[in-house]
Amino acid sequence: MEEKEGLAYLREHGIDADAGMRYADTCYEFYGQLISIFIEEYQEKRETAEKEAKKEGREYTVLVHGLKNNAKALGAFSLSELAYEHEKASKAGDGIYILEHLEELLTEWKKTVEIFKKINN
Amino acid sequence: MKVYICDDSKSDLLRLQRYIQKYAQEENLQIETEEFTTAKEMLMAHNAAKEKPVLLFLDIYMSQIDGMEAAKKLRKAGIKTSILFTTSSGEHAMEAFMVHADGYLQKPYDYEMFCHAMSKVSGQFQREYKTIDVRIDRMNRKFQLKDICFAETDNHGIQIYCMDNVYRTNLSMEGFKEQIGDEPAFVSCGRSFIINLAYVEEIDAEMIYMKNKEMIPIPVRLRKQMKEKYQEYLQNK
Repeated sequence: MEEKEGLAYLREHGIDADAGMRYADTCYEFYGQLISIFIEEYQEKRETAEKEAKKEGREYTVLVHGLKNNAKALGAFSLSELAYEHEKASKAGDGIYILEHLEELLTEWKKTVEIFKKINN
Repeated sequence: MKVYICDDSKSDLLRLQRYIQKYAQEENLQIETEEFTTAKEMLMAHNAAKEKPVLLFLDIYMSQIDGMEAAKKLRKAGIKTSILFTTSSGEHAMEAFMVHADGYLQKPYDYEMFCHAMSKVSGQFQREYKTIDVRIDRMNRKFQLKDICFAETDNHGIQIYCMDNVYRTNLSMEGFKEQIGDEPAFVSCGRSFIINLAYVEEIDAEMIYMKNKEMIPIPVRLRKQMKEKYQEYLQNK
């Protein structure tokens, strides 16, 4: 999608595209590159998250911490906030919270990736 | 100059690379970045590098060795390189202070925030690594200020003396001064010379003896002043 259309699509779907652009040096092409990385990494990281969530270890904390940052830098604040809750739970050793809310995180993650895919074809 | 970026996030590596190159262009600095996704790789590269980095961007939260641990290892080895931590929380502030970090870059950050963090560290290497643009034999060439011994007026331009060579250019002395800015190591010696005090071997009553074996005559009215400037430079070095 072209810049105007792409940013409008993101806004319509709950992504703070203005924040995303700000963290991408106000360059739509660069924003697109960062979004591509987010999409490319999704599958592998999702599988790792599913595996590590059950272990209650530091690897899960590092993963959701990274997801929180990357999502926020792209303007995907809802996903970033969910990841933050998981990061806090992981640091506190609250495995019950992680497993109970894992599906919620994975669903939001997938939804966000699908939104980004639409503009980054 | 070398800058290392260590972050397990590919997008943060890419973002920092872009910001650093933009900053280098704006500030007329030559910066080469090296990227690492683990602190272990970064530490190994640092250990083996002939040209050590002048600045490290270190993500704190990484798997295996985290950025803070890596910084502690470097400091323990006596390495005083500037460090800027990149992180999304301020919970490591005290530890950062203990390893004499030069600052924090809070994620996510835009270019303005990046420049603000850089302003805390750039002064020290900006002076040393600042470049000027000069046209020599119809070719554009960059000179690092630290490589210039002195400049001398020459007909319609100047001659730039380095340790290994002398370069003639059409750049005027005024243009040269303008590009140097307020760099304290560079001082005028009469109307014909601008010298880099870092390359002064000795100053006597009449002459400045440069490390490249050239001698620069000091105008009578400037003899006392030149000695004072050199003393001041040595004291502040």
